[in-house]
This record gives sequence, structure tokens and C-alpha cells, in this order.
Amino acid sequence: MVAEETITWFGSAASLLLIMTAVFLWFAVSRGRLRSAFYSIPPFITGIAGIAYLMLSLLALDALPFEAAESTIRYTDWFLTTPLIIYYLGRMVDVRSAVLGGALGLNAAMILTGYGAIVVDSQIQLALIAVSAICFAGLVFLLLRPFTEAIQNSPSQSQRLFRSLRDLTVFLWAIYPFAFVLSPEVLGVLQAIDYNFVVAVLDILTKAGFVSILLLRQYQLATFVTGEETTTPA
Amino acid sequence: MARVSISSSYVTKFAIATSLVVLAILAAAANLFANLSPELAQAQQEELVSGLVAMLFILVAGVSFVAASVGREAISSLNALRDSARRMERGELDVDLETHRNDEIGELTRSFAATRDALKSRISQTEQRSTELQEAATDYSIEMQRVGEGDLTRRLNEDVAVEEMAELAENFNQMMDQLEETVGEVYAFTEQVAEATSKLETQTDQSIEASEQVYSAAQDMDEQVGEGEFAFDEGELASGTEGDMSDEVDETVEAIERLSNRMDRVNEILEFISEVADETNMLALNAGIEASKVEGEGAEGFQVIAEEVKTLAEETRDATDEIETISDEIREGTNNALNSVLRQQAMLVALMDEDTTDLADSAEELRRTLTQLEVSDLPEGAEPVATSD
Repeated sequence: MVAEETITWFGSAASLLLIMTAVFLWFAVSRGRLRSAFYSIPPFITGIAGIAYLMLSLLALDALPFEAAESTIRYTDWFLTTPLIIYYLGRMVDVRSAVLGGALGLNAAMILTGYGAIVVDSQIQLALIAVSAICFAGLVFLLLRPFTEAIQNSPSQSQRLFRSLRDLTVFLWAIYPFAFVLSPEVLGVLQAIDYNFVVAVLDILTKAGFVSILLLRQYQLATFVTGEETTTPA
Repeated sequence: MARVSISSSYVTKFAIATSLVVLAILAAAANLFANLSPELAQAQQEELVSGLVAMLFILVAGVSFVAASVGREAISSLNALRDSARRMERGELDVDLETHRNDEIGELTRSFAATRDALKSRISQTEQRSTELQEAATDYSIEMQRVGEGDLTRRLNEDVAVEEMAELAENFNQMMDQLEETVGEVYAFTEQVAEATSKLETQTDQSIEASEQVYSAAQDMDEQVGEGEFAFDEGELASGTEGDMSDEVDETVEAIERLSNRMDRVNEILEFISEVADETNMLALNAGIEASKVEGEGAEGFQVIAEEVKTLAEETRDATDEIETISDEIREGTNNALNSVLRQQAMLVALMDEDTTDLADSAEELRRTLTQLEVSDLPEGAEPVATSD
């Protein structure tokens, strides 16, 4: 029986993520820029995450119409949303295709090895965790070097928005491995209810926080669409 | 060196502060666990640890979100302001400082923009003033150069935008008015000096001619006395030659006296020329003083004119001194000649008197002799010839 707190956290996360999806969609439609990748991708990020947490809530309530494990839903969410975030950051800086492909590959490897660390036994679990950490380190390197160098010649406001989103991604994604190590799946320091709470908060901050920054700094987001700096909200 | 890098990086300071907060909360959690765990069962202790660790994760996640969103934006805005300030420092006043923010950073950005606009305005005004100054200085330089070349009628344009240049032009024009008047007076004096010099030259020629006459008369007298060509005929000696010699000597004396009068006149003219030279020198000094009040190329021109006038005055002075010396010598010479002539006249008169007396005595003796002879030889009844005793 899933604790009521867990249901509360899953439900709150789903609500918040879906609301953020709707808000951003309205924002994009009202500006007439829904066709732009910079305005169409963010709703997918929060929308997929919101649906995943809705499913987790239903799963916690035993109302999910199909069989699925909590970790499967969660990792499926991460496997779909994290590439969108990497791709979005790559589009912002217009990085080379090879670098973007490498970043997406490292991200996919990070998620898959992390999922593998859950489903396999403990002997290779730590190895998979180490591989996942290495992939994450490589991804961080790409974000900090090639991605950042690619935007050096862009307007200052574009650079500032990218750096905020990049730092948010790197800081928050770095907490996931520590939380996983302390989770019931590995060391068990964090109990399931607390681990779910921590992961839900991290997911909200990573995705809803990502989109909220775009909304609050929409004047900077517009520079990617118009190609020139503006001072008033589009 | 680490201390310097920390103080120079806002990110580093923020990270250190965040770490300290996390450590503080971690310490608080550990303290809480230490206080409660003895009273809790194992399962409760595990729940407590799990809760505290979760809270720590949430704290770190929250701080990370704040740092990545608000903190990064603040640092990025400050970096952008710093870069704009550096560009303005290099003179690039076209930097874009527009902002939509209404917080402290937005207010700071607008202050930078106001400063930039004020700098641009001030630079524009300064450049315009510099252009006006340069144009006025160029015009003034051309006019002063023409003044230096001798055209004292040139004046500076006082109707200029720069007040200081207008004041300079006014003072310069006043000085030029005074200088033009002074130079006119000097020129008038110079003409007078030239006229006086011409008269002096005429008087000198006349003096030379009179001296030559005196010298010629003295030579004639000397020749006549030396060769003894005086015809001591009683009649000529009594009336003719003596009278001619006396007239000739009188004429010589009169010539010498005229020469002396002319020399007096020459001295008067010399005095006049000397006064003119002194006046000219004084005018040159005044012109030099006025020139010192003017700056720039015009001062050099004034100074040159003043120096030339001064040189002319000094040369005139030297010439008058020399002429005065020569006239003194001529005067002395004529006086000596006059005295010599008078002495010679006196000597000649004395000599003539003596000779006349001897001749008279001889003539009387001859007459008596002739009378004796005539009386002895005269036939009977003849009368002796009457004499003019």
C-alpha cells in the first residue's frame, strides 16, 4: 500500500506539471509562435512529465488500467523528457550536429544504465551506477564546453537565458544519482516515501522550473525567434 | 591568491555561502537525530534519518534552483553591465543599455544609460566647442600672420560663438588700433627726419663750398705774399691794391662768417634730428610693450616692427652724433681759418704800413734829390715841379 503522502506528492506534481503545460501553451499560442521549436518543445517536456506523474498517482491508487512498475513509468518519463531538454539546449546554441548527437547519446546511456541498475542484481548494480555517472559527467562536459562555446557570438540576453537553463539542468540532474544511491534500491538510507518525495521535487524543479524560467524571461526567449534582442515582451 | 579569487568572484562567494548553509542544516539535522534517536525505536530512527536526508536533498535542490534561475540572472545582468561599462570606458558610447526590468538591476541599468547619454551629450558639446575654437583660431592665425607681414589694417572677428575668443579678438583689435596710430606717428616723424636730413645735406654742401672759397682765398693770399707781387706803387698801394686786398680779406672773413652761421644752422638741425631719434626710440619701446601684450604670431610681427624702428632710431642717433662731430671739427677749422686770416690781415696791414712808410720816406728822399738836381740843372727861369706831399 502506497502511503498517502506519496499519492499527495504524485498528484501535486502531476497537477503542477500539467498546469504549467497549459500555461505555456497559452503563452505560445497568444504570441503566435507555437510553430517555433522554442515554444513548442517546452509544453511537451512538462506535459510528458505531468502524464507520467498522473499515471504514478493512478498507480498509487491502484487505478492504472494497465500493468506497469513505478520505476518503469518514471524512467520512461526521464527517457522521453531529458532528450527534449538536451535537444532544446542544443537548439538554443545551434551546436554542431555531432556534438548534439553525442550529448543525446550520453543522455540515453545515462538513463538506460540507471534503469538497468534498478532491474539487475546488486553485483553489477554499482558498475551500472558508475557507468551512468560517467555518462552524466560526459554530458555535463559537453554542456559546459561545446554548448557554451557555440553561443559566445550570440546576443548577451540569449547567452544569459541559456546559461540559466544549463546551470539548472546540471545542478539538479547532479542530485539524482546521490538520491538514487541513498534510495531503497541501493543503500536504503532514504525510505520509499521520502525518496518519491525527493524525486518528485526534483522533477518539478527540473521541468516546471525549466519552463517557468522561459515564461519569466520571455523577452530573452524571443531573441531566439526574432534573431535580435528586444526589450519588451513579445 | 585564493583569497583574491574568492573576493573577485560573486559565483564563488555564492557557492561558499550556500555550502555553509547546507552544512549548517546538516549539522542541525545531525543534532536533531542525536537528540531524538535515543528515545526512538529502530524503525523510527530510520524514518527520522530518511526524513532528514530528504529534507537536505530538497534544500540543496531548492538552493540549486534559486542559484540557477535568480542568481544566474543577477550575475549575468551584472556581467552585462560590467561589459557595457568597459565598452563605455573604451569610448564606445553606442552600447545598448535598454532593459525591461523594474528591479534594482533595471534601475542600475537605466542609470548607466543616463550616464551614457550625458557623456554623449557632453562629448558632442565639447567636440562642437572644439570645432568652433579651431575655426576661430585658424581665422585668427591667418589675420595675425597678415599683421605680421605688415598689414596693420587687419582686425579679428569679434562675432564668434566662443566668449573667450571674442574677448581675445576685442583686446587684440584695441591693441592694433593703438599700434596703428603709433606707427602712423612714427612714420610722420620719419618723414620729418628725412626732410631735416635733406636740409642738412644742402647746408653741408653750402658749408663745403664756403670752406673751399675760404681755402682758395687763403691760397691766393699766400701766393701773392710769397712771390712779392704786390705792386707798391704809391697810388695803387695807397688806394688800389691795398683796397683790393682789404676787400678780398673782408670777403673771406664774410665767407667764413657765413660758413659759421651755416654751421650754427647745421647744429640746430642736428639737435632737431637728435630729438627725433629719441622720440623714435621711445616709440619703439612703446611698440615693444604693446607687442608683449599680444600672444601668438601677431606678437612676433609687432616685435619685429618695434625692433626695426628701434634700430632706425639708433642709427639716426649715431649719424647725428657723427655729423655733430664733423660740424664741430668744421667749426673749429673755420674759426682757426678765420683767426689765421685775421692775423694774416693784421700782419699784412702792418707790413703794408711799414712798407708804405719806407716807400714814402724813399719817395721823399728821392723827391728832395730830384729837386736838388732839378734846381741845379734848371735853366734860368724854370720852376720846380710841385709834389703831392
